[in-house]
Amino acid sequence: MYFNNLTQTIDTIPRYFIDNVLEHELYIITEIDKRAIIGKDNKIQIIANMPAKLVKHVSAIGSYIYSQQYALLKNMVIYETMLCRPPVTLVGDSSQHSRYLNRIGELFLIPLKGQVKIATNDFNTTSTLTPGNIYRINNRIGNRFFSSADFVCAAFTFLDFDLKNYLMPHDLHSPFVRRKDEYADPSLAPDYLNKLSEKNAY
Amino acid sequence: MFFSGYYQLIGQVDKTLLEQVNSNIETFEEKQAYNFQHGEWLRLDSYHNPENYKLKDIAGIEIINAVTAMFPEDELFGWSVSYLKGKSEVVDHTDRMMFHRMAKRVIVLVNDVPDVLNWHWFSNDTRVNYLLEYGNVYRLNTSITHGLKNNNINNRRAIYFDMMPKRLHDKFKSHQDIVSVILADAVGEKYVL
Repeated sequence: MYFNNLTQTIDTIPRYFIDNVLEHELYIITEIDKRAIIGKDNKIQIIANMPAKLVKHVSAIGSYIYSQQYALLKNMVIYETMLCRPPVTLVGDSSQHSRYLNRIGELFLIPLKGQVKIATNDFNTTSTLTPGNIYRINNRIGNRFFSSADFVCAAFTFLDFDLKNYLMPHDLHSPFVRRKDEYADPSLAPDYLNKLSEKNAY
Repeated sequence: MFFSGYYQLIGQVDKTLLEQVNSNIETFEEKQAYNFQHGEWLRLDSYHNPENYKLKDIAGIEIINAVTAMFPEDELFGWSVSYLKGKSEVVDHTDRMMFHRMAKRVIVLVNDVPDVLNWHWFSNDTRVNYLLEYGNVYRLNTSITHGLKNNNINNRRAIYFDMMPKRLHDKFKSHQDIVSVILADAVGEKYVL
């Protein structure tokens, strides 16, 4: 979801949640995220690919977030749970904008190890994310991640529970292909598109 | 908004009322206010409406009341008045503004023009055809690729009502992308509609 900053520090998280995950760091095996949830060439491990001992502790972080009853998460449910090991430089500029989930949902990052600096052209600021905190990411805008070599984080996306029913999975993960007519060609409807602000017509 | 099916019959409206609505729209058309055109298909949308036309002034409040009464838990988020010329068609498309994913799109045919064939694509190879009947109120599944062709020589008028559950309406009505078309990596003969 868009908000008027690059990141927002939501809260702190007790250290043991992080330590519990890192105790099983051996089992963190990430691979290229074809959906570019956070950015192109990001490496993630989705919860379905985690061994049970990792699932338990990563899920505990999600449960902790729920338990804090943050106002901005009212009516929101976790849609995706993953661990991320972004490359040293990660570009989050392209496909993520067209992902409906990024427009209407929330992305929370919880650094577990190392640190990452995030920069954007939309705001004249950078953010450095470090372990011990829960961060909300403005995933509607373009950004760059500059990670330390050892950086690893847990990531959760949240979606309004009603929209989980109303949206088809391929909508959430746009720009991936739908049957027959997924993406309209802007060049074929220039008059209409010209009425929209350029920023939103990716 | 996606739902399981291509269209859904919601209810009926009185045809005398529809005749009046059609007459009201005919009168309004003298202003030449349609603000979207694709081929022979014209529309006036509330979403790009610099003149701030009101649907109640175009079609009358009675039809708005009749349709919104069928959705007591929803808010009327926006509307379109559609004019499809005889012997013309609307190309295959998926409705692409962000609110389309959250709103129910409800269609009321305003004049009785038979032979308008509607279809949805069940798969890349399978097209499901259907007819919509004058006097009925339908909900359309605009998340799935769809199109239509007016095989009649007469022009067809319709009103689209976009209804959103009240809670979602409150939450997203001010979202800055709500009436934005979201596109990426466009390829092929496809359109923004």
